[in-house]
Amino acid sequence: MSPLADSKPLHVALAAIAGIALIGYLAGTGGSVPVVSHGGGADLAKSAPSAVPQAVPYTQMTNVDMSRNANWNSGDLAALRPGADTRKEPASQAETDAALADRASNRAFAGAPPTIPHSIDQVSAASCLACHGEGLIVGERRASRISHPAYHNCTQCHVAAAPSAVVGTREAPPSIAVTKPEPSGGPRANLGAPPQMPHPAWMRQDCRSCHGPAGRPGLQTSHPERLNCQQCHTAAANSEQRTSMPPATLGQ
Amino acid sequence: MRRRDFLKTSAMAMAASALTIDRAQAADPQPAGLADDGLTWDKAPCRFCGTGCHVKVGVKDGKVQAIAGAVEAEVNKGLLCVKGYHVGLALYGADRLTTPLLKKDGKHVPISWDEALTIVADKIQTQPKTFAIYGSGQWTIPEGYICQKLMKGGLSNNHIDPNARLCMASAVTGFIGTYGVDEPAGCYDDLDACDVLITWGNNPAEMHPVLFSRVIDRRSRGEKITIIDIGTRRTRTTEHADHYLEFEPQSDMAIANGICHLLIKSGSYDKAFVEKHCNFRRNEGEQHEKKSLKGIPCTFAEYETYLEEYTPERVEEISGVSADNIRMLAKLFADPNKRITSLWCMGMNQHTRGTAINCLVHGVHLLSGHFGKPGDAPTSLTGQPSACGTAREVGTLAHALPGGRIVAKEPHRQQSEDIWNLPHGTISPKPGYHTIAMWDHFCTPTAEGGDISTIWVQVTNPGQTLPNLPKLFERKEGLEDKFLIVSDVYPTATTKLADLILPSAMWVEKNGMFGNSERRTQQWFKMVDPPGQARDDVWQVLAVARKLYQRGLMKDKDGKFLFEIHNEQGQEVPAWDWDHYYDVNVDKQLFEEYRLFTTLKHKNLAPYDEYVKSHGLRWPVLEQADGTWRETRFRFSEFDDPFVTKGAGIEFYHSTTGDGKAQVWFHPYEDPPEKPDAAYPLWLCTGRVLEHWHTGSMTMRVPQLRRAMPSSYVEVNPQDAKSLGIGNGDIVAIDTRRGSIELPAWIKGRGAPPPGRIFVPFFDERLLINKCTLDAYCPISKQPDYKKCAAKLRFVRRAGART
Repeated sequence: MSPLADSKPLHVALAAIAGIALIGYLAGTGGSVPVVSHGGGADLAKSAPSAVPQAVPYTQMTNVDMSRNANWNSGDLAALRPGADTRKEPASQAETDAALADRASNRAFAGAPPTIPHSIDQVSAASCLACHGEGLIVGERRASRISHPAYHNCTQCHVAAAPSAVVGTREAPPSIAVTKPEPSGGPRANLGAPPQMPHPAWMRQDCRSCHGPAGRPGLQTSHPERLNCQQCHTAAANSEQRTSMPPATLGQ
Repeated sequence: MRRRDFLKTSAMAMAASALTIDRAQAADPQPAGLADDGLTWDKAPCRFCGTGCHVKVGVKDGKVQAIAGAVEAEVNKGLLCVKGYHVGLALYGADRLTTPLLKKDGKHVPISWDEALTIVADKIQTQPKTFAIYGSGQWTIPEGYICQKLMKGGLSNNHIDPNARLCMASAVTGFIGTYGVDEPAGCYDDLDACDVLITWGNNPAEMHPVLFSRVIDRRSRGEKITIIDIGTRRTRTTEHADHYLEFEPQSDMAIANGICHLLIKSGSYDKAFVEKHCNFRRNEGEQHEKKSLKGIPCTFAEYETYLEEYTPERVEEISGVSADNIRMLAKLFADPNKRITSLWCMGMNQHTRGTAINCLVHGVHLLSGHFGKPGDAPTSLTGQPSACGTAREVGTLAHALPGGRIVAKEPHRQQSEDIWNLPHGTISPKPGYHTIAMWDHFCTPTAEGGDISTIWVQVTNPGQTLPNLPKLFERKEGLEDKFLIVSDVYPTATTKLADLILPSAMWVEKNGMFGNSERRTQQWFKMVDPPGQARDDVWQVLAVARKLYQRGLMKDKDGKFLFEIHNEQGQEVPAWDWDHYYDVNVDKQLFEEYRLFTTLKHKNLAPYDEYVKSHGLRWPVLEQADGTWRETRFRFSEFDDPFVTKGAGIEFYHSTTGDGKAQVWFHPYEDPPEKPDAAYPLWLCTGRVLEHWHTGSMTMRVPQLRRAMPSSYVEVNPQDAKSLGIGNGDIVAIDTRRGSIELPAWIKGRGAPPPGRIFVPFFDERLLINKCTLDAYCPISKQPDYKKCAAKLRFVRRAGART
């Protein structure tokens, strides 16, 4: 048998792949996004996170949900969670400055809920918590750990990115607002005293969200093994809304 | 500068200033070394929707710099929504109106306040009977009250109506038709106690997110709550619902009748409750066609006969909801051990049979006895922060007077005249024009019978929100003898056609009071100055009234100025002079006067100072033996409402039949005035989105919110998109018999309509969907139906294609 005859099936296969790729390419460059049925979301939500997400074969592309975060729990996210907390050097001023500037970039003012810096398809709170429940680190990108008890309607407070593929984008409206800046470090009562919290603890009950191992490097604590933060770091009363009236409790 | 660059720069600037300021503070020798954010915090209700969350406003250097959810507030318990967290930024759009502007040769040119007030006074003085005020459910209570008194008392003119007519008028007629008095019996506490939540044509996950979370967050504490979404399209509320019952627009009436039919057939209605607390009522006429708020009584046996045809199978035919699901609903209501709360908002109110469907849903709750216990309540929600407080309670509607009074009743007019110290006979007994009639007459040439010559618009944007804009707003252009005055904070679709623009102070730039959906009256103080020459709306009205007084008008029967303001020593203060406006608390004086009106219908309010101390109080608020003031959570229920006769259990003490009973109404299902046909094959529904509040005049100026939802769109079902060859982002045209607009298509978007239906939000001032909507309205409440009309879709161009 000649080598040419031997490779015939291979050529056919290559031609088929090239053809499908071409069709896929043309479909992809078409003006409008093909309409695909939702279907898969509910089933995916039931399956346990196990394997790394598989690429979708071209032949199945029209049948699966290709929207953002559609396969949020199909990969092995556990591998991406930050490791054990260990003592480290305090962050440098440069790291802290960078972290604060980064923080300020996705919130309206210090204390505002962060806006969502990526597009989402709201499926359920579980889809947000898949990454933000315990926090994730993927290369340079960090999904911060949720700082408050889990609620069910994430986009109630966190502004999502625009469906820009559909509605496009617009110039930001000119604004003359002056907003509360991010605090940088709390004051100390005396040399060597633990710094006070420069911000309220309301909705930031879990300090690890920013100061734990999945937080921005410039904000991480040097002593992550200590878990009772308010033992040493006191909260600021004026911004904690502590007055003569007892606070209403959350749904109790 | 590109958007991204702008954001980046501003973020960097923000970060830089953060560091400088904090460094400066750190360097500042503070012996105590106490953490302090340098801001002064005070409470205010949120500026946006009718939920009535309280926020803490952080002020520094004369600017609102931060917002926090008020932890002590019972409504929101420290949480807010995306709009609430950014409410402070709504003050700081760069294009705030800062000086009065007069249209000269087609251009708006700055004029002085004195010139502006003289023009307004001239218009009123020369045409006192064809002058109208178009106000708002965003008016503070004192703002609405002073306008009410100026018009009905000062001018004997009833042409005053609020935009709330477009928003909750059908809820009002539903409550009055059923209980004889307006506003919900229950309150938000029901959301903490209900086992079942039914949303009737309502999407609280986006429109009242804080209230919706109050329910769904109970699930994370292990509680079981069944949520039933009865809707015409899938929304974010549907995502949390156990049952989604999709119905044909308008057929909610058939669903309610179907539930009542089964409750009676199976004998599972609450016989004791019905016997003790309910009468039955219908409209006059063979076909129940003579529609009125009063109707005529009918017997239980007659009521049963009317319901005869609403078998589950027949209801399925009309509504598309399966007979099994109708049975499921009836079974739920038949269970006395379940606590059931119904919520509704625009879906039931913006309805050509709005009064009827409101009465029917109250009827379902009454017939089944799901009423008057915590968690058992039919509750309508409002879209505006003071739709209840100002529009409904102050009664700034064309037929109403403060405190639940109406102009048609002589004793009500006389009581008002007595409080205002006016001679009897001053107030006209004839209702003024409701919103649709007012704008129709304004846009009709005088020679053709358009007998409204000047409208003063305050705190609202009718150029974007009126239905059928070509007919009810755009016709104004070019009518020489029609004059439009607009008090607002930003340029809007309305100010475009304004002849005179008055720059207003907003929210915490002035003192204010709101009343939310659960009868809660709230108060706040001015915290920052308004920009430029922007001034309080109350002051604007007061100053115009003073000009009229100097010309011999606006006098009480002793010849005194109708709006005299006094200091604590009882001396008159020239509050009409802006320099002296804040010498005293004008809001407090107007409120204390208004309070005198509130006892007739048992909507008693506490003194102003009680509201200063609280995060709002729910009326009726009564003074206790120890001098404290107690609010009422559950109206008409003996265990909580002090006005209920001891031993009565439940008593409807404003019953229209005078026997302490509520009215259970029968209304037949009726077709809407316009349905899809061959020429216009689709149902068009309009509404709101989470990020934007109403016409977006405030939220579109908040960078975070505009970035999140920069443009309007039309939600299209994949099946329709396929048959029309439309893809995501393609530009399509919507045509109706009124008008046409072009906007991007969104398939499988935020909401998902079924085949044959499309949805468009109304927030985008560039894409006015109300050019297309229908101006047909409920014959009783006069509220138009923005939720259904016939439309067609046309493909215009591919996404990204050049125009």
